[in-house]
This record gives sequence, structure tokens and C-alpha cells, in this order.
Amino acid sequence: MTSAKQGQFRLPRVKWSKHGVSLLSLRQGALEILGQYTPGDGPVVVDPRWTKAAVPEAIAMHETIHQFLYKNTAVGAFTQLLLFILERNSTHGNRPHSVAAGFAHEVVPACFEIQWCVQELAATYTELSAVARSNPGLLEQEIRGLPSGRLDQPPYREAFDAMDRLLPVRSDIAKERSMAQSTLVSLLAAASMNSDCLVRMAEVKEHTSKALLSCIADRPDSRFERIVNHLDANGLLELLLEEVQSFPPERVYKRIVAEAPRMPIFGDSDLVEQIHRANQTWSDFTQVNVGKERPAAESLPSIVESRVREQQQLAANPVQELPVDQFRERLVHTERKALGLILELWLRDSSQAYVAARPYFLDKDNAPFPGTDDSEPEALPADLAGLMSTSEVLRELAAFPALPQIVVFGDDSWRRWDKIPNARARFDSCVRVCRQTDLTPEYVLYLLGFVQSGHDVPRVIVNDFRSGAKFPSEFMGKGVEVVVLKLKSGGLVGCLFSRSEPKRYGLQKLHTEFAMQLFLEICERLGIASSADGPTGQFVNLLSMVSLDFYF
Amino acid sequence: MFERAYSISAISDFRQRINDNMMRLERETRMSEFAVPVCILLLLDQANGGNAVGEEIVRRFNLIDVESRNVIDFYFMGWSRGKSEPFALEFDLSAFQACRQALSKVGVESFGGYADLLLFDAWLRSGRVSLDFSHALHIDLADALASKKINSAGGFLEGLLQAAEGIRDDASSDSSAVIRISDKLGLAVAKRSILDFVLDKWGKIIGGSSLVPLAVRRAGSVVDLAKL
Repeated sequence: MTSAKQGQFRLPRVKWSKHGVSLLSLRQGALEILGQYTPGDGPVVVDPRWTKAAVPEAIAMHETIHQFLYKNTAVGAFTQLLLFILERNSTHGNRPHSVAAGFAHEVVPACFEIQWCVQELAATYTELSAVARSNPGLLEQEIRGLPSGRLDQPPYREAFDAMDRLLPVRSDIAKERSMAQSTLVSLLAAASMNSDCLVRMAEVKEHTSKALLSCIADRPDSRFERIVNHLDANGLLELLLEEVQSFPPERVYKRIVAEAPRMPIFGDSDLVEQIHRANQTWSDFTQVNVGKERPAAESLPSIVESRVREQQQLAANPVQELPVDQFRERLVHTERKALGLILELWLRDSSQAYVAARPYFLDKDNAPFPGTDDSEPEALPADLAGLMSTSEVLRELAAFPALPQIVVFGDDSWRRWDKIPNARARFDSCVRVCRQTDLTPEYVLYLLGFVQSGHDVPRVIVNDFRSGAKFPSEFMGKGVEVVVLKLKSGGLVGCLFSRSEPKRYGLQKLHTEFAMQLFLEICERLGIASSADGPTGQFVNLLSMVSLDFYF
Repeated sequence: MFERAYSISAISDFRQRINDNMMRLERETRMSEFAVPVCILLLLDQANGGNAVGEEIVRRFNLIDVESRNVIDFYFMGWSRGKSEPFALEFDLSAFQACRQALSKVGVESFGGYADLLLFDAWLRSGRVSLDFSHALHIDLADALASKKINSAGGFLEGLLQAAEGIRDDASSDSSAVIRISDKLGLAVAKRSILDFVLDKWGKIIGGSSLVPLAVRRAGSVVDLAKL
């Protein structure tokens, strides 16, 4: 039940100087990032196996709300234009530094400060409502774990509590009511962020930081408070909740606009023209063209490895050079012992590769597949790994045409390898695997390109897919099938394969069940068919062998 | 069910839980300033150099969980529940040391080394949460047992639980009582230090001859929870 008296609803305020860049990230105990959203990259969930996030799909929903508010509100669009101004003036250097410095020091922090609580309130409320519905036993724990201003952390807890007093998030309310509450809070957030900032931005006379700051004088956090207090005082929150359960969100949004206290609240239909005009006024600074098309559809979330974990692993195991003679000796030894060799390659550019040479026992009658006999006469030599120039790798391999039997490209390294003269053809006779760790719509598209044709995906298609624009997906996944493999360790691996290319496979690490659902949804959007029977058993053994490094 | 006795595997958990309680109590009671009693137990397990006293108290963890749930929070620093049933407490030396270091950093240093109990008030004042170590009960249980100041650690703690029970009874029978029991969390809340109430009750239970260990002293200073 809604019960607060007029004027009681109040959001905390944040200070950039205190909370810094973490304003953009959802943090657990202000130590580990669970997820994040940055315009252009879409919603991101950090590997839940690492962060121990109990309900990763709720984190994804949190970040998806940020995406919604950035893409569909005036303050969100204002922020994006502001970031263009900052980025272009900082990187291109063809604008007065004082302007860029002014934006950096005044406008960007202020812009994030005024919307932080509204964004995080809507996102956190949606996240915890999802937890209440799917994992009710974890709700108290998740609320307790929210960073709090009283602990000198970003005030997620205080923002959430403010709304929770009016519309309590509980595990014992009906699913429909819970979802309606989330939707209503997001619509209220959108209304508070649909101020006249873009109208003002289009009308400014001077291109100064002060002029931009004046555009956002009508702060979303204050607007949110005024709207909520007004609706609550007039008993309208319950009425709106009922409407959310019966009508489309667009209609409820119009009702909010009609019932809200007097203030400019714009809608979807105004936004396209407003962004276009605001950008026209500032185009010398933003250096982008903004047409009058509707904003692109919202992109699906991604699941990425923890950068903290990567840094810790790198610190514990610093990358070293791999001496050429050691690599050569390994090739000689592998050939002499009639072993199999998996060559793994990670490339940041075409000149250098992180190389891992991993021997394995061959099924002698059926190479390149791994042997199934556990009683091998002697132990395998240890894996060999380190940095080498790509030209050295190719030169050393030239004397061993039968090696490696399997080449594994880390992530999209194959796109850079293929740009090296004669490099692509060198592995024509090998089983070629692309092993993808981060799960993003863009990388699954690359994985599809690898399996389907072995050629890089044209940039225009990547951009279209990334931005959610429509493209002829019925042609995209043609001939490629998807299957999910379950390793003996319990880990899940998504596998793309084509029956017409039996020696080329795309593997995707699937961190959790949620990752599997997301992967299959991306595949569906790409027109990749689900496989009834998957690759042959021999290839499943081989792929399981090269998947082990996903789960260490 | 209330979850009142917590196993704390890291100091951040302790902070989050205290803060969570205070925010919920503030919301429930609509009081802007109040105190709640907090009990920290620093117990080494025998495998890491502790003695039987610590393990005896740990064995009583589930009992404390049930009996104390309406008045005092107990925090077992460095101990966490196992991942599988029966969810027995497991000791983590590095977590224990991290908790001790965090307390030491804010001036709470005089630990006996085996089994220490620290009882004090957590305060909400001016929108901040603080821990009042300047007015605290600190008992080295192993030492108190060896010097026969107490007869047994379990019996001694039993007195504390009975004192808590007495406070709950007082609060529920007397509408003018200065101590209030939270309907939602079950914690004792008051506008003044609750520690003295607890000690008064406890002293009566264990008798005059055993009052020496129950002397309130300065174990540290008043510390903002965020600084811990």
C-alpha cells in the first residue's frame, strides 16, 4: 500500500567528488563491479561465477533499465551528446582545450550527479523486484548487500529504500503486481528525465559550460521527488499500478504526464526532433550527425570476464617471451613422439601472439581425435606458453606440415591472424576452433562468421546488429547450427558448427544458465538453427578437450 | 523467522549487517536517534591455536541464534556457516585476522587471544551509524575462566541470554519502558545506552560475587561504522 504523506518522499544526493566514476557502475560493497552500462556498449554483467552474484539475470535487468533511460529520455540523450563533445574534443584536439576542460570539470560530473539517484533507483528497484519474484529467499540478503551512503558508498540502499517505503518490494505479492510496480517506477523515472534540457540545449546562444549547465537546471532527482509526492498525495499511485496491469506502458506514461504537477514532461514522440535540433546547435562540438530516425532498438546484455580477475591472474602469472628454440624443440618432440598438438593463439595485433602449445595423446588410428585409452605409456610434456612474433610462429611451423592438429583462436584473434600474409592458409588442414570467453551479441556474430565462411563480418553488419537495427537475419545463420555441450566438470559450452565445414567450430563459454539462455536468444536473432543431434561424438570429445581452459 | 546470530566472514559483512539493521529500525521506529546492543565474539578454533572455550561457545551458536533473537545481535568474527547441511560453523583464519586488524585499526586492541567477548552499543545519530567502544564490556573469557572469575563460558553466556530475556519481558510488560523491542527485527532499541540495562540484569542473574568481569570500560573510542 502507498502511505507516505506529501513531501515525505526524498532521494539522497550524490557528489562526483566523493563517488567519482563509480557513479556509473553497480558495485557490491563498493569493491567489485557486478555489472555496468555505458552508452554504446550496452548492458554488461560481469561473470557471476566470479562476483558470486546470486541472480545474474537481475543484474542484467538492472543494466537494461540504464540502457532504457539513456536511450529513451531527454536527459539520457543530453548525456550522450555531452559525452560526444567530451570525447571528440579530447581525442581529436581540434577544439579549444579550455572548452573540453570546462566540460570535463563541470558539466559531465554535474550531469551524472543530477540523474544518478533516479537511474539507480529505477534500476535497483527493478533488479530487486526480479529477485523477489525468482529467488525470494535471497531478497533480504540482496537488499542488505546494497552499498549505502552511511558506509560512505554510493547510496543505492537509500535510493531503493525511499521507493520501497511507498511501493514495498516483497516476495509475497503477486507476480503481476510486482512487475507492475517495476514498470511504474521505470515510467516515473523516464518522466522525471524527460525534461526540457534538449529544448534548452538547442536554443543556447553561447557554447559554454555555463550554458550547458543551465540546460539541466531542472534536475531529474528533484523532478522525481515532485512527481512522486504529488501522485502519492493525491492517491494516484495505486490507480496507476492498476492501469499498468491493464494497459500498455505508453498509455500509462501519458497518464503520468497528465496527472503530474506542472512541469515540462516530454514523450517519445518529441524526443527524435529534440535530439536532432540540439545536435544541430552543437554539431561543431559533437561532430556527429543525428538524423530524425527513431533511436535504435535496445541491445541484449553481455556477460564479460571480471577485469579485476584478469589483472590478478596476470600479476600472479606475468606474461613472458617464449624463446623460439623452445617452441621448435616442442614441435620436434611432438612429431617424434607422434603426439597431437593443440596450438592456441591470442592476438591483439597481427605482429605478436600469445602462443600456447598443448600436447595430447592422439587416437592413433583416427587422428586428429584424442585417444581414449587412459593407460598411456608416459606422461605428456607440460604445456608451453608465451609471447612470440607471428612471423616466427609461421616460420617455425613451416618445417612441420602435419602440426598442429588443432588450432584454437582465443576470442576473435582469428580476424587478426587472417590479415597476416599466408597465415590463414597455413591452418587449412587443421581442426580450427574459435573459443570465445566474453558473451556479447557482437562476438557471437564474429563466431558465426568464423564458422560460416571463415571470413570477417563486414563492419556495417556488426554495427547494425550492435545497435539493434534490422538486417536480413534469415541469411545470416544459414547452414549453421547451435548446440550446448555440458562438460564433465559441469561447465556449459555453446557450440556453433556447420555440417558443410566439419573442421571449423565456434565455442562460447557459458558462465551460467542465464548465459545459456542469453546465448540461445542471440543465436535465434542471428537466424542460427538449434541442432537436434549436434556434432559427431568424436568431435564432441575433441571440443570438450579444448574447452577445459574455459573453466579453471 | 528472525536471523539474529550472524557468522561474519569479513568485516564488510559486519558493516553491511549493522547498517542494514539500523536502517530497518529507523524506518520501523521512526526514531532518528537510538542505540542497539551488539555483541562481538572473537573466538579462535583449536586447530589455529585456540582452546576449548572458543569451541564451546561455537557449539552453542545455534542456541544463541534462537534464544537471543529478540534482543541482541551476536557476531562471530571469522566464522561462517558451512555450505552444506547441517551448516556447522567453519573457521577462516584469514577472515578472523582481517576482522581483528579492522578492530585494531580503530583502537580496539586488547584481545586475550583465545576467546573474547565485546558488548557495546551501536548508535544512530545525525544520520550516521557509530559503534561506541568507549563504553563497552570486554571480557577475555579464557582468562576469566582460568582465574575463576567465571565458572564456565557456557554458563556465563547463558546469563547474558537470560538478561536479554528479562529486558524483553520488561519492555513488553511496561508501556513506559525506555527500551522498545522492534516488531520486525526483534532487537532492543532505546534512546540511551542499552548496555547498562543489560549489565544490570546480567549482574542480578550471576550474583554479586561474579560481578567483577562485568565492569564497563573503555575498549576504544566511538567509531563511525563506515571507518571500520
